[in-house]
Amino acid sequence: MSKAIRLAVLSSLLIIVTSLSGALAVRAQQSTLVIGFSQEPPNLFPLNNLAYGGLLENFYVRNLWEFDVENTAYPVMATEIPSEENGRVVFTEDGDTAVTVTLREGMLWSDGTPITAADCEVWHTIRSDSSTSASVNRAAYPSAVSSFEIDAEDPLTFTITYNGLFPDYVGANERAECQYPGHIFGPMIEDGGVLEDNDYFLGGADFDGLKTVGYGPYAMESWDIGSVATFVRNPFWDGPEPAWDRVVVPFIAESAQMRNALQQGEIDVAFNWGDDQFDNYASIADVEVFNVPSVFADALWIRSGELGNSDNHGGDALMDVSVRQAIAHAIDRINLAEELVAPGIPVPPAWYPSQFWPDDLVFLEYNPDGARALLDEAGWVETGAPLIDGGDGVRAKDGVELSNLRLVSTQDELRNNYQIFIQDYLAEIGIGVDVQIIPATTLFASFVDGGTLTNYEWDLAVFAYSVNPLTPVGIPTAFGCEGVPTTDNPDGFNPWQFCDPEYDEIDRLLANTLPGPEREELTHEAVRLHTDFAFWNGLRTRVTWYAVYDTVVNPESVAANVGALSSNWFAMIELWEPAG
Amino acid sequence: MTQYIIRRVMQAIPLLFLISVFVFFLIRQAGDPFAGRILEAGTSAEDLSRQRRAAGLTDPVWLQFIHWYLGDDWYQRDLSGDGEPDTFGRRQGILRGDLGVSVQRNEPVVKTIRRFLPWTLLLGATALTTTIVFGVAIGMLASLRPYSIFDNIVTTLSFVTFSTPIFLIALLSVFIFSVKFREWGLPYLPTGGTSDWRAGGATFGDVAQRLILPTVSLAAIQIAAYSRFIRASMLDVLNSDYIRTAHAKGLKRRRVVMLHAFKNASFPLITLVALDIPVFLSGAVVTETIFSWPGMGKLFIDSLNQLDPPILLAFTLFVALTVVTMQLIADIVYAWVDPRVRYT
Repeated sequence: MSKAIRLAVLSSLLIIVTSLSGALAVRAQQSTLVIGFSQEPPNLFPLNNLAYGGLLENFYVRNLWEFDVENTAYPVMATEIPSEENGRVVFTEDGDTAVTVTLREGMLWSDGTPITAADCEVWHTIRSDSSTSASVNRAAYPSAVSSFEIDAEDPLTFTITYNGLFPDYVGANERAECQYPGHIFGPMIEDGGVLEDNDYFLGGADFDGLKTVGYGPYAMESWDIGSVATFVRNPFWDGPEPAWDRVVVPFIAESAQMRNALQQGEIDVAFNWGDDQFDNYASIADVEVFNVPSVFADALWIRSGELGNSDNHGGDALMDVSVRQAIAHAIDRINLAEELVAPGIPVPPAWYPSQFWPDDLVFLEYNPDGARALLDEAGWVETGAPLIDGGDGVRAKDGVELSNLRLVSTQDELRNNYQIFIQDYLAEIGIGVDVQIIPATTLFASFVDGGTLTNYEWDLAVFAYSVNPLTPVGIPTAFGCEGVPTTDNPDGFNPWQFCDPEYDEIDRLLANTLPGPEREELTHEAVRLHTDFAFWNGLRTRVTWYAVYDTVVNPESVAANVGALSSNWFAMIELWEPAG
Repeated sequence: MTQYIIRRVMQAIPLLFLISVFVFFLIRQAGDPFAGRILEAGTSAEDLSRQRRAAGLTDPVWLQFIHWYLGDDWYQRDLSGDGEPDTFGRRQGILRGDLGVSVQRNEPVVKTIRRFLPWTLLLGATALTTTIVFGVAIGMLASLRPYSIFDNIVTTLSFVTFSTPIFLIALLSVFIFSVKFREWGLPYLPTGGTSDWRAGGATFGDVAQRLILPTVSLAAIQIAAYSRFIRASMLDVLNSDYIRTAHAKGLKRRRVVMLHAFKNASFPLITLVALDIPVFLSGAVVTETIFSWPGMGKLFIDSLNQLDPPILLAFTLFVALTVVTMQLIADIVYAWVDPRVRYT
């Protein structure tokens, strides 16, 4: 080897060793909080409506009002929450609902531009006009809102008029959005531009070194897609000062690695990790673990209509509410949540959020003898050999066996464990179940795309369907007769075939009834009808897990200041306190 | 030579086309990229329907394939949902260099790949270099002392490493060199990423330090394979007549081994390396995911989890193209270094 080559090799080694030793040195950054995320949003696009899609936005946008851990609204950008009492909600002569909002004075976007009602109008335009973007989830906004007007004398005040009586204006999906700066978003859609094409939503913009413009305690400094996002203090934020100068969010998809990173002190908070990791995190010294209930609840869904019936899969057994109730009684759901998830995990009795439950709501408790009695009464009696040792013989009626029920779910360790236990519980009372694991993209696909659910290639299913916890109004396409997917109705998503005209009518009335005793009674009746049909049987409330270093962050301050709506987990991060 | 290259390129075109047809229809069967969104509060059937129309998913499958190849900027769709076609598509098709737009990221696929490919190139090049250097060295040393203690140890370790799943190697390496080393008070390595998250920014040292464990994980199995390959190849050559002749002529052992034996034993290595380059270029799905390394493998697995067909299609095409290209290059280089090989 020539001298030159030897010198080059030695020099390279020297450089590497020097740089490594430098990098290995401990770097203490007193004012940086590192929060490990397991999922990275695909973009910053507003209302892309993925459950984790708004995670990064939490740091740099705020709403007119936010919801605390109890889902109680408190004003943020608005001076107050509109109500009839404060005169901000008025019912017009035409029977419409006019809601007036005034923004707080002196608020500035993170680039120093004043925030006015004109910003809100831009977002109103985007939500009303589908030509501005194909990807925005507009839900009922275009049909619910008839006009948006800025007060001629006060540029901070605007009025949204909703068609008819509209009680849910405070609800998360129908509140007036003022999260996004009109002077940035407006030009994007002028001259027929399409919003989502803009680099802004992938961190490609530059505003004096920052990547986003918003109204929040932080602004995005950088987003290395696939790796890490960094936020720095927003100099124009007028709310409570956040405790840390920087918040760094690395994306760590591998669960063991998230735990390793926390143990190594590379991250201070591990967020939204799997239920099965509880013991692993709880065993780390100085780490406090807690959870916050989410708006999701995993449930056992039962296909309850005639579409999809087949003698190979129990015939028409599941159309009988007694059989569905028997299935619910046969499974010890409370014990499963304790054993498979974690102690104290609640099992909800209804799809609706708890504040809407009537006092007489019945939870179908574990009662295998009661389940047997219901099946016997319905004519499904023991005929064949037991499915498991000590279990009942397989049940049958008119020569059709109650067996081979297809129990489907997505690939998820916990859900798949649930499937196995449910199979065992049902085998004990003589119901045979065939466990199937199906990719989410096929399980939930639309009718025309051959979705498993929508094409009725299932009998029982385990998954979660999120609920809007701020309104008792249901989802017509999911729970209304109009939602049952067929060739003529390919967009429907009511594959469980819950179809009750009385429920549909109550749901329609709910959407147009103001809060008060009448609405409360309607709500209770809707919940009863929905629950009595026994097609939805709660398995566990899904919770969001946090593991927090109590030497870095005050865990109590975190637990008291996280959102529970699956879109606002960090909407109160400015109230998190450092340890000590 | 030129005719040979042209012929091989011409042969590759129908092959790539067939691969693209197969992959397109396979991915199309994977389901609906927007399916999971129906479970989110606030998504209406109209929203989903519009998003599917905008992504071209409501077009007949054969037409989607044509659009993927030729673009859809000549084709009007009904985005407003009133039954009348009203909006021209914006894709130009892969034949015009447009790999489409990611349905989840809303970003041109070319741009997405440009974000992730450099990290894969860095990791892949480092891992491949490490593999070649250590694989060849260990294989040569083992072949020079066949059935010695060293050779037996190397053989045993090779089989153990080769039989170990890469995720186990990766997690074990983190457990030992990161978690345990820290516990033992030794200098330890970070668990993943490409930069020091707390300090911010990515210095050369940060990246180099975080490159070690993924490189070791990726290279370990390959080193085992290469060392076995070189050992066998070297043993073949070392027993050849011309090596005996070289020794008989009084050439130094080092010269015989390096110049005569290794040169000839390494020819098949060209094929091995050429076939491995696409593997490294396409990213290491498991390694990159475990180490939060933002490369092509991680992009692939993220896109698979979210079902992002344009990215999956582009990725597969990229891999196919790389394999075909590297095979061609291997054949050319092979003939270049070994005059006995002729093109026909």
